[in-house]
Amino acid sequence: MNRAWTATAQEMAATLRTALAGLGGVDLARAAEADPAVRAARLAPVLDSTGVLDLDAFGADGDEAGAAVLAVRACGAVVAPWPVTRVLAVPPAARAEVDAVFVVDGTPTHLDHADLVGRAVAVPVAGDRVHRVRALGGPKRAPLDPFRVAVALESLVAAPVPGALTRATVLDAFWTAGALGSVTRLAAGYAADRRQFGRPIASFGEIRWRIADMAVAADGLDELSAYTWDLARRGRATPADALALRVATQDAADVVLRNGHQVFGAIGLCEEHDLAVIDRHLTPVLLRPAGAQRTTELLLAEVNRHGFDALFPVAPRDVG
Amino acid sequence: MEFELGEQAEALRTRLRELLAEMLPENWAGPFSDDERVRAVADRVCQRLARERLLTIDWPAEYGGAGASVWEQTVLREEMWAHLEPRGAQYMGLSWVGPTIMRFGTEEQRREHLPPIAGGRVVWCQGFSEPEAGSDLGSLSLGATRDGDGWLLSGQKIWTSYAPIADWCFLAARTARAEGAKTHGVTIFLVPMDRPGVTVRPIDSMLGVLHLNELYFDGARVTGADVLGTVDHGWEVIKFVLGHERIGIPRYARDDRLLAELSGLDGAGGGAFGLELVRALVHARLARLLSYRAVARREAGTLTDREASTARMAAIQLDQEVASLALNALGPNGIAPSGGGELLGHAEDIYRYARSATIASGTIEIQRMLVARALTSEETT
Repeated sequence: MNRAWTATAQEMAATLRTALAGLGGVDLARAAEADPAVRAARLAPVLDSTGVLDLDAFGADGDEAGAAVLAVRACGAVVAPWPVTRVLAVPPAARAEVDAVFVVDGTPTHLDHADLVGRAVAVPVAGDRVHRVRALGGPKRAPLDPFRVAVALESLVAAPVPGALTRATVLDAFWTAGALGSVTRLAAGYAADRRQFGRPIASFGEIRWRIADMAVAADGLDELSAYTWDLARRGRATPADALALRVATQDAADVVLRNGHQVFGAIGLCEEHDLAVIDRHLTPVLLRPAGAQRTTELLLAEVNRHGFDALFPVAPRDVG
Repeated sequence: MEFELGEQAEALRTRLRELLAEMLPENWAGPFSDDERVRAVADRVCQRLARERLLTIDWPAEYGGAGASVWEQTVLREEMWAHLEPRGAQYMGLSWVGPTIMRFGTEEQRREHLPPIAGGRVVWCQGFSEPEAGSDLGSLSLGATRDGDGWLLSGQKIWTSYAPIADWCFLAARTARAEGAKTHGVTIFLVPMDRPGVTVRPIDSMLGVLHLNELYFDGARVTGADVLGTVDHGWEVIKFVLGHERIGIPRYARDDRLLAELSGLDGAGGGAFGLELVRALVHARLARLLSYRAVARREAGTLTDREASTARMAAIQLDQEVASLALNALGPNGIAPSGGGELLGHAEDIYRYARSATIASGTIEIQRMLVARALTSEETT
């Protein structure tokens, strides 16, 4: 057991955090939502200069792999408007031919930021028929899907993209953990500052409980993300491990966002507040490829087929 | 960043499962019973573990331990809890009484108390809660009045688990009026249960025998030799104890075992039951990882309230989730008296005990308060 990120990984993530803060943090997401060209004009140069998009998040080099997932977490913390996780989900060996991987459930009509990645592929959450993704124009803004791009799935790609579900799920989990960490910190700070009835609202039991529940959810996701990433790097992550992480990601987001809004009250609903932006921009990450109910059904099917690792492992069922 | 517990820890897990399979009788329902034969099993397990230096494997060798890694100790705790704690009430002595005496005790106290704990030969109980001092432990009022070179104890403790079979009590008493903080003026005494003036009254409860008791002190005399730590500064000791308690019991291990058994039931492969089951599997993994984080931080000397209490919150909520899932899955069959066999045969007993998960060793409200306080102070400093 070694729970420490390497110094190199932490330094690189810190560099990226500083650069993202320099771009305005969550304000960059606001700006990109108003004008999608901001993504390429302002964020892309920072991602290029820090080399984030070239990293191997699951390779043998611990510094590089750690830097990659911490960078994803840093981007998630400000819901940076770029498909970082889709790009890093491509195994290095496939990057000569593929720019991004979208895990899909069925045939999607829209994918987020699909206009930014030329040679994207769609990999089914269950199955191995890989299609090319063609973007049909630019983003058409929707409140809960601010960078939705109409897409068409085209010709089958000959070679499958190995480990796509696990890679994408782990990266999305780090992204979400970053966003939820931001919300939890914002809520705790607000509760300490905001006074009602003559005292900070953090002194009220109901508010404390909400903050504590947010911490359990956010910290739990941090731990499970790192654990599943470690399994994946050692080639031991099963689809059930990936889907378990996905269920935990969706659960944690629900707890943190619901309680976060309740701590903030009406101010958290305002677009000028980071919580509202993080909530809206995180939603497509949580719903693609599938919502919580469908994800849990997929996990159950996988556990039935192959079992689940635990201190007392769950055996596969005879599913005929 | 890697999460493997190590080959030695996993080898220990295998060894412990073999040993328990050999030693535990069929239909083993745990050690908390009126039946002397059941308690004799716990005694045999303890003595066998002690002989193999497994009872206190992370203690220093000078105190009867094997100097094993904290992860081997974690595995030991997981396996014991998963198998209905066959060490019986001894687990308290091993998990926190011994380490606390190592930390705060005099050389004489270490020599007197640590070898019997390490040898599995002594049962301790904890005299903290009082009728008017539960979550608000700092308000405890059991008095220790000066009497020559010692004190006379007068007052009541309550919810004292294992008191009827305990040899010693780890007692918090008030030796002085609180000055400033109400936690000032508290002293810890190590009191033999057969000392004149100490009386135990068991309380019937839905948890079963031995779990809840009242403990009365009526002029029981203690001396300076019985004091653990410094007079009037026992709160430091209590904080150390509570820190151990929060991450001492790996409830997720028993829940993992129960979930594995539940997964074999008809209907577990689909429907609402199947979906709830796999969600509980995810929650069990989360609880285990949060506990590992706390264990690692404690080992590094950097454990905070946030880490200790988030781990505990996840574990105790999981305990109730899994107990409810088990009982609901079994339906009317689940409320029959413990039927033995595998863990599921004791589902009703596990369910009753799980009712106390969010109450014992610091209520979930206190855990939430600690976490929230830690977070809000982090964000304002």
